[in-house]
Amino acid sequence: MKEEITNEFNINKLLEFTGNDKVALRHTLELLKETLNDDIRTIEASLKESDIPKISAICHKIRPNFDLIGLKTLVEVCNTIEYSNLPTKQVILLANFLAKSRNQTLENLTEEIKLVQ
Amino acid sequence: MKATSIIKDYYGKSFYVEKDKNKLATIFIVDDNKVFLNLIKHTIKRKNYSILTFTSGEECLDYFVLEPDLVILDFHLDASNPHAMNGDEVAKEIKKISPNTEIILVSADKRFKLFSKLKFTRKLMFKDDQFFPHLSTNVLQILINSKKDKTAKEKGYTKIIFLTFLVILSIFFIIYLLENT
Repeated sequence: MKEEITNEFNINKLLEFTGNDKVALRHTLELLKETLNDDIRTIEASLKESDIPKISAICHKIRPNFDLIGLKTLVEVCNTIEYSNLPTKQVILLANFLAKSRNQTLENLTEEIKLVQ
Repeated sequence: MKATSIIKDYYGKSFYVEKDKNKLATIFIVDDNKVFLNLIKHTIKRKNYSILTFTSGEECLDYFVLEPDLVILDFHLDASNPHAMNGDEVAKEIKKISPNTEIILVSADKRFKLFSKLKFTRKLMFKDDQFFPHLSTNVLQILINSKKDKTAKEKGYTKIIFLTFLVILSIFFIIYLLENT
């Protein structure tokens, strides 16, 4: 999974949308890092309570963020959780996959922030 | 509605807000996704726009004393707080408070079927690859159209006042003629 997410990670869309403005790019990357951490924490807390509607709502919120950094696999995971009406067990499995991807995505974001000086 | 006012925040703390009348337009952006809030602001920012960002519809409504020309409003605002108002409810409130304020409703949901909500809005936009490249143009277009509509309305009112005046004048003239014949 680590390799998959690292391979997909790219900031091409962000570069396009920020118009190569380094300040805006850095700020957006920092916000992505901050909000990703918070949202995955909420998913983890919701997992403990098997709160599927909450997990689904957070997936809806973070899906466009994953899309901004090219993480297509995670976009698909969010889509599946949100729209597929899967049994609770499978949703929990997918949400765990999202939660486990956090460290790798945060690492990638931290590296990218360092590069944008 | 006054352009300046004292408003109270959630904790009851009062502060003073004032509309910047030197700016061409006041724009509010409402999204509980801070990344998008920031990117939308970056995308549409111009020297002559006054832009305020909010993470909830409730907070945005508190600032309506500033009479925004346009609100870019995310539809799903209840991810963090399930009791928060969603975009359609906020749009309804906006139209009650300020019917002239234009609304762009935004959603990350491609299967968004709530087109009936469009009656409150000028435009519906999806958070896809086309969202940011088209945003500035849409904002500008809506602001121009809104100004045109307001001018047309004002012209309409002027016409009505002028015609009423003519009718009254004619009545007086007829009365005058009747009295003098």
